[in-house]
Amino acid sequence: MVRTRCEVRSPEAADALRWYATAVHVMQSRPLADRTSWLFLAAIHGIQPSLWFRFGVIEPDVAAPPAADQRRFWNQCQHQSWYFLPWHRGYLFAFEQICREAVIEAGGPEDWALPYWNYSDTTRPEARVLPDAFAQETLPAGWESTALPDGSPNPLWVERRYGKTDPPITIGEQFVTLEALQLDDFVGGTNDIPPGFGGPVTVFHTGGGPNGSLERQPHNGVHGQIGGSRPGGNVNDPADQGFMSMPSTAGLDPIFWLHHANIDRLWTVWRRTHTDPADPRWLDGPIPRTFTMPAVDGQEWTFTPSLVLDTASSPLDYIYDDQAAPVEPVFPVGARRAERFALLSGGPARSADDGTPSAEEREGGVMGAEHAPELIGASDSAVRVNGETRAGVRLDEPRVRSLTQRLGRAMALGPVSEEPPRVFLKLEGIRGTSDAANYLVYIGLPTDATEELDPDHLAGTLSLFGVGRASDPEGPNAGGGLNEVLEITRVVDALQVSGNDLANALDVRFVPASERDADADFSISSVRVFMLEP
Amino acid sequence: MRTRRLGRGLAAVVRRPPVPALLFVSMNGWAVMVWSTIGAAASHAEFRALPGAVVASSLHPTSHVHGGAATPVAFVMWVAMVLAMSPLLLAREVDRVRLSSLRRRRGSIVTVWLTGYVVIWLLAGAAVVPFVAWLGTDVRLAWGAVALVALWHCSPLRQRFLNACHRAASLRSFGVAAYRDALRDGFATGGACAAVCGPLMVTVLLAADIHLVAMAAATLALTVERYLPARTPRWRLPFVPARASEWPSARARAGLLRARV
Repeated sequence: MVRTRCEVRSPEAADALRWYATAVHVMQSRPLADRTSWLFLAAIHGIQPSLWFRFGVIEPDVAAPPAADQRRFWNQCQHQSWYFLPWHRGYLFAFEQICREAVIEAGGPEDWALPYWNYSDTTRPEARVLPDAFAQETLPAGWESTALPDGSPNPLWVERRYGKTDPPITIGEQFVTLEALQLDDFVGGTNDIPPGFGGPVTVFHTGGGPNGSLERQPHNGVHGQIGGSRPGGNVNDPADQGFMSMPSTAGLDPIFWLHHANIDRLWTVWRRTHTDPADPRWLDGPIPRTFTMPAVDGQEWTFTPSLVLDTASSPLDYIYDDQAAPVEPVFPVGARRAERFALLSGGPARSADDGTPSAEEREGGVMGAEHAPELIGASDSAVRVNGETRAGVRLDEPRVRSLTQRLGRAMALGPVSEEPPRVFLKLEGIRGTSDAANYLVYIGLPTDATEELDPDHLAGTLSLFGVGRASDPEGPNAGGGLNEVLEITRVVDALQVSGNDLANALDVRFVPASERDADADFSISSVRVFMLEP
Repeated sequence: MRTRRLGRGLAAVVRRPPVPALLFVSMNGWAVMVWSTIGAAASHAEFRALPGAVVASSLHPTSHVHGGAATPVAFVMWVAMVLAMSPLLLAREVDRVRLSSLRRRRGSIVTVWLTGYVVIWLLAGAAVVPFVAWLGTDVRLAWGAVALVALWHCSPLRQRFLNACHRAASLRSFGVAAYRDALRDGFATGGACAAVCGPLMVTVLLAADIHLVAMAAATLALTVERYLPARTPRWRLPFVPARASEWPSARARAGLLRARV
């Protein structure tokens, strides 16, 4: 039977949410050592026992599962990896099955499916607001059951969900945009430039390094915007951060699963016009261990990415009620090039050959010859970000001169000229403990710009979900931190058009997304600028 | 089917720069090692230059191998061994250094970085070759060294060095500072590499007439280990999976309760 996952605010989802609350309650009543318990399932994503004790999630006398279970199941979440999407799909599927079993046992429908939260829907103003069912401390009216009598605590509510705004928690619009859907390739280019849709090539990898584009946004942004940090607390202290802000606690928040259902849906949307990797290391991966989940009966279920590609067929058997692309896919050379020339020279918005790849090109995953990115600028020292922070990036004069000359030619001659190189900003070695932090990154703002920051200068967002673990020198990433790659071609083009030539330095400004983010304190070991031949 | 697909995946890795260049260097190192071994089998002369031998001799009494002296040829063999075993461990590092450099300086910066790396290994060789020659004079000494190396591979300190190999330092890209950083990082990477791999190479030198097989096995183990994620430093057998999480002791939990917020 193929089941349908519905948007959380759709009429069809109302009943699904009520049963979800019941199932969460049932799973929460199971002990930690039970593979189908709420806590065990959350620990599969991540657990830091000391933090769970400190938060009161588990008590000192709790019976831990056998060491073999901990080793096989816990702390598996794949981040900053090309396994990010398939691992979370399998994880969500295992969770949904266990949840459904609890729903059925409680008298609910056999076709129950997990709802998803589409916060990126720009046609509905309330889309970015946390759904009411998660914001009420006590059980919503009409949700009473034998297991949950009237006035019971709402299982979908958690205290440690702080957000960045006064209630209701609302996600900033900059953190839910869907540029990721416009990327052509699942895996990024050399040095992660351009970044890929799904993440970089790794072995089994629980975090650290560069994000895939969908993971960067909306995934990471939403984690920080919903989890946030305790008002009046210390945003740099893990003990003051919301469950959703950190990988080691995110699975404890019931909204986590609806967030990830949406991320999973966006992969489905992307797959309709793009191709997953054909690389056997991905399809049959990972090494050196397998992805292992508990089945409904508590037995082990292992899977590879190749098993979870098509959601509509066995074993997954689910679809989404909306799988249409919310943004037009933009393929290289053609549409993107035409849009670029429209900005640079006021030329036509689309060229005759829009560069849409042929079926053959898509099948083979070949999108033209791969160019290597070239470094054209770098900061001279590490950058410490604490509140609004400016960083100067020194540019290599000969190469920047060549770039501006080519931009100038493109402005003068229009689409008949060769497309100038694309430009990328790479933030390397982002280290800190403020997982909840959300920042905006601006390029080339005038020195006196303070109040209204010009959106034309916005390079992108920076969300630090997972930075604590990635910065731990004794963790699986050896303290290497996170990397972030932002395409700044549009901003650089606009600077050129407005007569602000790139000189020998580029001003990069980090702006906290909210007052609570202003206290975040983290470092970036190097800010680099690369150009890439189109 | 799965093996064939994984084989194709491996082929894709091998084709990606700078792996072909590094493979070329490695193959040259292997060629020298194989040539010297075959030559030794014919004349015994160069083979005696191998500084170790007694361990394998004790395993293979009919072997023609003898404990050797720290000759210049032995030092050349050490260099060949480093050339054979190291390059594949450096694919990530060389790529990082290359891509962190301005294009017109890539060649010189990578050369400076490699110089720093190789200097460390030459210094290590200057110490290791006479030491192994001394170990080769007595079976008990040699087996003692093998036991110590086994212990080293289980130690948290070695894991710290291995984790350091995973950590990418940030290199400046402009002026003299770019060369200084490259040299410093070459030293640091060479140092961490020597600490992680050097002791195992000592046992390879002691393996005498099976040293090519031992070298191949060591290369495979060290390469696989390098590309696996970092792990928390603690005493453990090599390649044994790490615990997913550290469960605090009862005392630690009581402390955490007091700190509960």
